[in-house]
Parts: sequence; C-alpha cells; structure tokens
Amino acid sequence: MRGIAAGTRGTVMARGWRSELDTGKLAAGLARAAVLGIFSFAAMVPLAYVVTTSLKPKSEVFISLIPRQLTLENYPQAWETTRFATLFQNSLVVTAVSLAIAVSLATTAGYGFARLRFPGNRVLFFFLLMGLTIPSQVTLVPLFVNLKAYKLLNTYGALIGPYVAFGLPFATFIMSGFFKTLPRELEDAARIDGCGEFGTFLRVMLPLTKPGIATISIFLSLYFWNEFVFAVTFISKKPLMTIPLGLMSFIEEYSTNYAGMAAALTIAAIPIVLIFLAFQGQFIKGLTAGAVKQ
Amino acid sequence: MTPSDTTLTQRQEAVVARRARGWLRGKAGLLFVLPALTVYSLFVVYPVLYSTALSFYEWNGFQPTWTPAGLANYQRMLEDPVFGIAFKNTLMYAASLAIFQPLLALGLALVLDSLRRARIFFRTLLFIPYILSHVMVSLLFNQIYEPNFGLLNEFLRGIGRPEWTQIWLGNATLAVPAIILVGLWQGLGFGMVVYLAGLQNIPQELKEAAQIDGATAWGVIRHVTIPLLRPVTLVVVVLVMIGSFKMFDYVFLMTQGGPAHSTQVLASYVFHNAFVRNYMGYASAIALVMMALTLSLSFVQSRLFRSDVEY
Repeated sequence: MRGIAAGTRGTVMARGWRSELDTGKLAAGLARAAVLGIFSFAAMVPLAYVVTTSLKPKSEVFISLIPRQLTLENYPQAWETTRFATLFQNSLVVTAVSLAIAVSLATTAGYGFARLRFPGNRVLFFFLLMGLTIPSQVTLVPLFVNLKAYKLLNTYGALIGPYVAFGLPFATFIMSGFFKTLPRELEDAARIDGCGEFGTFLRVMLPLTKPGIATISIFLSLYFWNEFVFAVTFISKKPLMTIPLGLMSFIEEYSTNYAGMAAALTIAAIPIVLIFLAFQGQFIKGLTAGAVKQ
Repeated sequence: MTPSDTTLTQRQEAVVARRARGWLRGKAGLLFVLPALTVYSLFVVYPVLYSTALSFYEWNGFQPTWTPAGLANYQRMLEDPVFGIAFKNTLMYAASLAIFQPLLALGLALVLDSLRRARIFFRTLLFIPYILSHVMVSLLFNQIYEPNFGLLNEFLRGIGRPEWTQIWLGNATLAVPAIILVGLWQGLGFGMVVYLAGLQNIPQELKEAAQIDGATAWGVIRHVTIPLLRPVTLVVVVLVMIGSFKMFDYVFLMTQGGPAHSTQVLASYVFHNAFVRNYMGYASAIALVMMALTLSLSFVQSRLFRSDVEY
C-alpha cells in the first residue's frame, strides 16, 4: 500500500519539475554512459590487444598496433612450442581429480559440521576455517622438503594434495551453510524409515544440495585451473606442467616472440572464457559465494 | 544350544547394537569431518607448525640438520632493507586496492543497477578479467607495459606525447603503481558484482521514502544507499586486503621483484629467500609474519561480520 502511495506522489512531483528533471536526467544518463563506456573499454582493450597481436605476422609486431595483414600462423606454432595438448591434459587431470576429492570431502564435512552433534564440533570447524586466511607461502618450504623426501616432486599428487587442502576450508564453509538451510524434518523422516547416519546423508540430504555442490565446484575448478604458486614450486618437468606454468615457461624460452606469446595466451583464454559465457550466472554466483548473501 | 541361550544372545546382540548406535549418535559426526580434517592437517596445519619451528633455525635446505638460531631470523627482518621494502610494498598494494577497488566497484555497480536489459551484458563483460589466471593477466600486461612497442607507450606516442613513455616495469618508482593497476584491473569485476548483489538487497521503499522527503537522486545514493551498503563495503575491503597480503603471482611474473628488489612483496620475498638464496629459516619467519597479518585481518572480519545490519 505504502509503495503505491509513494509512487503516485513521486509522479505528481515529477510533473511539476518536468523541464528541470529532464536536463538532470539527460546529464545523469550521459554520465552513466560515459562510466560504462570507459570501464568496458578498459576491461576489453587489453584482451583485444592480445588477440590482435596474435593475428600479426611476426615481422609486423614491432611496427603497428593494428595488423595490416592478418595471419593465423602464430597459432599452430604456439600450440606446438607450448605443447598445449599436454598442458591442457595435465590441467584437466589435476583439476578433475582435485575437484572430485575436494567436493566429496567438503560435502561430508559440511554435513557433519552443520547437522551432527559431536564433541569439538565448533572448535574443529573454526580450526578448519582458519585455513581461509593462511597464505600458501607458509606451507611452501615444508611441503617442498617433504614432497622431495618422498620423491613426489613433479607428480600430479604434489599439486592435488595442497589444492584439495587449500580448497577445503571455503568449500566446507559453503556446504555447511547449505546443509543448515535444509529442514530438520527430512532427516527425522529418513531416520524413521530406517536410514543410518550415512544413508540419511547420501540418499536424502546430498541430492538436495546440488546447487551448493555446483557453487563450490565452480569456485574450486577455477582455483585449481588457475593456480600458480604450488605449480611453480613443485613442478619443473615439462611433461607435467599445467597451463599457467606452460605459459610462463614459454616466455622464458621465447621472450622475443610476442606474436607467439599472444597466440598462446589466446589459446589458453578461449576455453575458460567460453565456459564462463555459457554459465555466467552460475559462475558469478559460485565465485562470489560467501561474500554475497545467497 | 538351548532356546534360552539363543534368546540371551539375541538380547545381548540387541544391547550391543543399541550401544553402538548410541556411541555413533554421539560421534558419527566425527567420522564425517575426519577425512577433510586429515587432508587439511597434512597439507596445511603440519606445514604451518613445521614453518613455525623452522623460523627459529638456520637451514639451507641441503644440510642434514637445522642450526638453532633463536630469534635471529626475526631480528634480521628489522635490519634487512629489502624486507622493509617488501613490507611497505605489500601494505601499499593492499591499501591502494582497499581504497580504489570498493570506490570504483561501487560506482560501477550503481550505474549497472540503474540498467535493465543491458545489466547482465555489462556485468558479464566487466567480470571477464576476474576469471583469467593471474599468469595470463601478468603476461598480458607484460606486453602492454613493454617499452618499445607495448600498447601503453605506443598509445602515448600516438597522441603525440613520446616524452611520457616509460620503461614502466623497469622503473623503481613506477613499477609498483603499474602492478597495482593490474590488480585493480583484474579484481574490479568481483567487487562490482558483490556491490550489485548488495544493492538488490536494499528495499525499494527506503529509497522511495527518501525521494518523498525531497531527496535528489544523488541524495538518495549518498544518504540511503551508501550507508546501507556499509556491510558490503566491509566484506569487499577485507577480502581485497586478505588477497593483497598474499599477492605473489603478478610480482613474480612481471618484475621478479626487481629492479633491485624495488617491487618485492612479502610473498615474493619468501619465495626468493627459500628457493633462490636457500635461507629456509628466514623465509619461514617472513611467511609467519605474512600469516600473522592475514589472520589478524580475518579476526577483524569475523568481529565485523557478527554485527549484521537489518533493514
């Protein structure tokens, strides 16, 4: 009711001040367009730049910003020199395995923390959440020394372990939040039907938290896919490098091949940008979970 | 076996089963959280304890034993000018982002919030930099900042200001701001989306009420929207700062801490000491300082989050 009354009065006022409001509106509209224009331009120019550079013949990189002559020759070359197929495969394996482990551990733990009472529940949850702010740098030396001692440097496992562990605090936090929103009657009904603790979790609760699992999967995948600190410390052999590492080693070896570098960057960006464009709503939700009220 | 024996056994079994269930009812939760806690302990907690211990020793990573050093690694920080630079740069990076990121993100979110159909389009477009890896973004900006034919200097020459061209990443004063700009470029979309969500949570009636009272559009933003967004601003600022204290990738990939350590940040200086100079103890001590910074920030965050504003 109040909303309607306010709306009418607003209109009455607007009529009285029409001409003044119109100039104001125009100015505000222009300002808005300017802000949008400037920021979209700033966001897109670096990306457009790398794509145009990748389309230039090598001889032209140093001459003009806009390619006079387009070529695709840099792409197959960049694909070969970065051994992109291998990089892609390594990133895919590390991300998929880490994701499978992290999601199973985070959902079980999230359920335990949110719905089950046991001694130390709150303390252990807090203990796990501290991991949200622990910098990976604190673990670099100890992990490096131990991985080396167990001959695990330059293996997928050297990445999967730390990735899962550093993904868990946040993923568990989000999952426990999701489990808390489910009605308790569901569990009671499942128990009456004879489900054990694990059966209740697996058959009744888990299927209801698909949105939560989607959220943490997006967040975790992007973290695993893009991670650099552990990768650069624990992996030095070409056949095991992930995409970020492969891109870095490309500039180390071919520091003057700017067109090739640009092509490699474009190749690396295409899959992730396409996936983002296809699922942008879920993506943004997944990446801002925890900062935004769900 | 007599029938009574069987009965007894069955009864005993029932008791045992009930007890087991009772035990599980109290502790089953532990079984649910134990796998996650084990992995977490192995790859996070144990290394943190290891680093804490190592920070009181000297070790080059190859010797069979650690040499006790007392507080030497911590004292050394006070005397080490490069640590001072790294500390200052880290604070500078965090403070700059904590100021500019919410400011620009809020401005953008306000503009986007006033759009209807174009909102999703611009939100998607402006969010793209955030999903790219830090490695990609660093290498991309390496090309933009490149002195001879990089985009920035080409642009300055193009507008007839060749005297403004710089060796952006090779200049001790300009390199840090150049890196801050990259952080801002990549993170802006994130802050904007968080603010957009916050704006959608503000009840329309409050803005209308202010308009009835004669507030201008800017007045509504200034006196209604921004104060109500305070909790969102706190989230953005704290997240940005925690991220900034851990920042490593941009520096490592764009300047390697140079020229002459002028762009070193705490995270890159940890790496440098650990894997270039092999000062494992000193690296651990610096890493612990980093952790102290991020943990104290998250403590502040947990305090702030407890007081959630209701509309």
